[in-house]
Amino acid sequence: MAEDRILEARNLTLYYYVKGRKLRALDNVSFELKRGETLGIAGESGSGKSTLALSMLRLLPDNAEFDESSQIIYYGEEGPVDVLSLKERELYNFRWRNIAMVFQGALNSLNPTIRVGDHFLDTAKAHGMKDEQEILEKSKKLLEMVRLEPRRVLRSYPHELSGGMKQRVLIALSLLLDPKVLILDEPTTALDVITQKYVLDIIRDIKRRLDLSVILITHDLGLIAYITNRVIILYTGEIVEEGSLEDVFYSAAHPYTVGLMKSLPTLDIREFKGLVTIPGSMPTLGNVPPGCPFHPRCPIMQVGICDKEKPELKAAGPDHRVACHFYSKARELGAKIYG
Amino acid sequence: MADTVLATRNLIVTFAVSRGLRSRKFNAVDDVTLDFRKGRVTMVVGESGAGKTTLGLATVGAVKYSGGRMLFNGQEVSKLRGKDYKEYRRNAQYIPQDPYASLHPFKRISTQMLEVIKLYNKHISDEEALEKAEKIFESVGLTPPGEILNKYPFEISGGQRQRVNIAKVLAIGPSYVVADEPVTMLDASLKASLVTLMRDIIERTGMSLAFITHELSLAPAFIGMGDLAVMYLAKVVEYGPIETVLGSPLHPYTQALMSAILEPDPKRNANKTLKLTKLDPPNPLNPPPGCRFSDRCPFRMDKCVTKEPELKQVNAGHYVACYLY
Amino acid sequence: MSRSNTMSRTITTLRKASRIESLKEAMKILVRDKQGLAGLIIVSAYVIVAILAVIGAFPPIGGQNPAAAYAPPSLKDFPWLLFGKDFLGRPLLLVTLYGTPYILEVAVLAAIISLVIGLVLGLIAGYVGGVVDTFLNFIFNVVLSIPSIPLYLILALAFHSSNPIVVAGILTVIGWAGLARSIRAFVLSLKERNFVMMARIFGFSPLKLMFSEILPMMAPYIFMNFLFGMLGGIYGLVGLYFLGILPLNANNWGVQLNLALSIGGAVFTPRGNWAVILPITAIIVLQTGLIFLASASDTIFNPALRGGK
Repeated sequence: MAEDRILEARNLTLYYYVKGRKLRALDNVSFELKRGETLGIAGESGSGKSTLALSMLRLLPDNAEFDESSQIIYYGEEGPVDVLSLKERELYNFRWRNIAMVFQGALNSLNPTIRVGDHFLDTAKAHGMKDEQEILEKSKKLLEMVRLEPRRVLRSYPHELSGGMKQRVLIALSLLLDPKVLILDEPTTALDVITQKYVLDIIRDIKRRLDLSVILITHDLGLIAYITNRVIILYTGEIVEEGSLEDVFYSAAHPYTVGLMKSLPTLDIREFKGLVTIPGSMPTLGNVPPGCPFHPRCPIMQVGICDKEKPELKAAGPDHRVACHFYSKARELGAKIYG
Repeated sequence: MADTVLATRNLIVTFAVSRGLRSRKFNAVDDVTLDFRKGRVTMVVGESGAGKTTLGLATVGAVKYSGGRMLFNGQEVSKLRGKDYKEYRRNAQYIPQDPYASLHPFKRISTQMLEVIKLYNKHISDEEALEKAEKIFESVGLTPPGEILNKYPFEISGGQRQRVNIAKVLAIGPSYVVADEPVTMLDASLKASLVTLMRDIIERTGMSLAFITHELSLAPAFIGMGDLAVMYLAKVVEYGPIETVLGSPLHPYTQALMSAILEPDPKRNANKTLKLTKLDPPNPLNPPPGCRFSDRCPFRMDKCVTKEPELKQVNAGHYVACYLY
Repeated sequence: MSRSNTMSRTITTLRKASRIESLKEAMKILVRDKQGLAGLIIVSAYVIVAILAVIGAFPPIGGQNPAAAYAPPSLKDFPWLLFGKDFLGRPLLLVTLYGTPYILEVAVLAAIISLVIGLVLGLIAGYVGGVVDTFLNFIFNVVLSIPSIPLYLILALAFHSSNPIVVAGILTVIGWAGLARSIRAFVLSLKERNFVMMARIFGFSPLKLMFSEILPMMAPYIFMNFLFGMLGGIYGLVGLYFLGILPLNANNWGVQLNLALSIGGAVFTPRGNWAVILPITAIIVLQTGLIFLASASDTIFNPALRGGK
């Protein structure tokens, strides 16, 4: 049976060492990315989503450490690769060739003193491609795929391009070495609404054309609703709900997801008055309460259970998992539980 | 109109941009006429570069306007002096976008609140001022007030800092407030609660609110309370009651904006398509000839590139600047 | 809980809070920063020595006794003869200790004068802008382009006095301009900061803006500058005396060094070592103390950097 997973994270648990304290940023996060799928990882600030993104390519700072049970497996053409145990040199070759990433706030990561064309040349050469002609041909093709005019853009300096154009250049750059997985961390912050939609359309398009598998990490549920197939909801570094797009958006089973969905403004004129507020705020690193991390803010919290026992991820549907002791109640009551 | 607190008539704000040795001028706000009324909200919507922030800053006097008129309670603002100016200064306030840069980092919140309260209450005692601050904090959802007053800005969250900004404005008690992208930098789940807070304040105090944002999805919060102005490249291209503009957007740009907004609802998103001929945003220094939207408009006609369309009333209270109407 | 209870609790916390803003609490914070603490201890030690010297807590140096020139260290008369005697037969340690007040006095004066002029002019130039700024900036640049060492030498020779105020004045003639320029640049950037704009919109007066919004942001820089002003002052001062440009009629380490190496002939005998090492050490340790203290300035003034959370 052909492996239809392309990337898998198992029991990712990560600690940051800060001023002598050991703070847990990720708690037993496990997920699969299937070939050709777009997975959305949704989380608000402080949920650990950026940490998770950086973990995939081991781009974390020195004071971050995985525990022993954590594993990241990439199912490549030559068999499974245990990413967390790659050595320096192997890791260097692994990155960008198999998994590529476009970072948050990436608009500032282009070197302002060299032309776009040189960015492509330098990156390609640093990873072993030698033939300049070949590199340029490829760059042109990639730029066309992101709907930029190759000749003009290759000649330009970064400051001559708009935000949307720079973002598209970065996406094209990330695809230079033909990776099979593309990770995007907040790819459209700082972009206008119209440009944002356009960039997402392009991402959808190239994913299809290049047969990519994509992970989109963002706090914006609108983006998630637009281009992903499966969704994971992160809260204080752990997965509280995961399922298909329809499952999570239309039959959310975790009180946090329910609250989140009900708190987001939409253009639907009728619904604004019914918007709710989740009381309190997400606990910061190192201040996660015992039991269920969401219990202090949860309207259906039950003393004695939710504040003592941590809920495991359980099936709430054929392809839908949730970490809540009372998920059916959460789902049934829906908007009413927030009053 | 009697209940107009602040009004702009053909307002122009010009900036100079230097490119090498030459410096070029462009109008960040070009011929904008708006009325800000007591107890009403004027939403100013547009993307970055549209001029909406500049408009907001000009109305509170943080930026000087270079043409047209701006009237506060009927008097021309640029001619105000002395007591009249102080009256204007007190009554035109601002809620900023960035909760992280807008509070003095070295001063305790209590110090900052007391400064603001005492500014317009010269003889109030510290105890009374503190009590007032606590009351205001309760009313904006900052609880427990004493605890937050005791902290420094870096010890509270972005949402809390924005509430502090709102509290400061309430302490001054202006008749006109500009909220410039007040929830853009906050988490999605917080936006609605802060916007609701602002709406409640307007209802309670009768302040006039200019709510500047690129997030059209916040507009339903103010339905029945005011008007929506859509700005594009320094001009107002559509204007009308919020529910009217949302319900039937006339200008092609407004339509494009509405279809570009991605909602947290997969089915609703699927039905939207963007119909622009050119997707990259325009360069404010180099607007196209005639209608400024003409190079991206799917309905462009020959007329559109020769002369700019005027803002005309099309339905009751609903104005558009477009040759389609 | 009744309203008055919460009120009084808040007032107590507020009063405690304003005490934090005072220097005493700043010291407590300093204690947590090891380098800063070391600096504070060192500088305080010098200040204490200076005070003791002035109030006469140390025995008088006594008369000159050339026959006992460079007498070796001895445990007699502890601790004053620990380093032996200088070329005039006076206890070296005592001579060095008595040199402290003058050094500190001139250094502090020089630093303060430089700071005040630089700060005020820089603030005005940066905040007011326009023609005033252009004019002031021009002056800063002119002053800065004057070669400092030749000017100091000339002024020192011209005034030829050991009056601390005169000496401090000589040392600050050019120094203030560098600070003024940095402050101006600092103010220019701070002026555009969001919270300054907010204060302006609230309606605070320009004076309040300058001193209550902008100045506190520069506090770490100003504090550091004051300490470095002292540093530079000490070098300048010691240098001018060491070179003999200023009259040798004061007792300070520069004079000590000058006399030791010229008339004293310290280089001609190994017994003269301490006569050179002691004043130099006194200078170095003080400078180090000042630098350590300066390094803690950010921690003192920026609440976000104080102690881990």
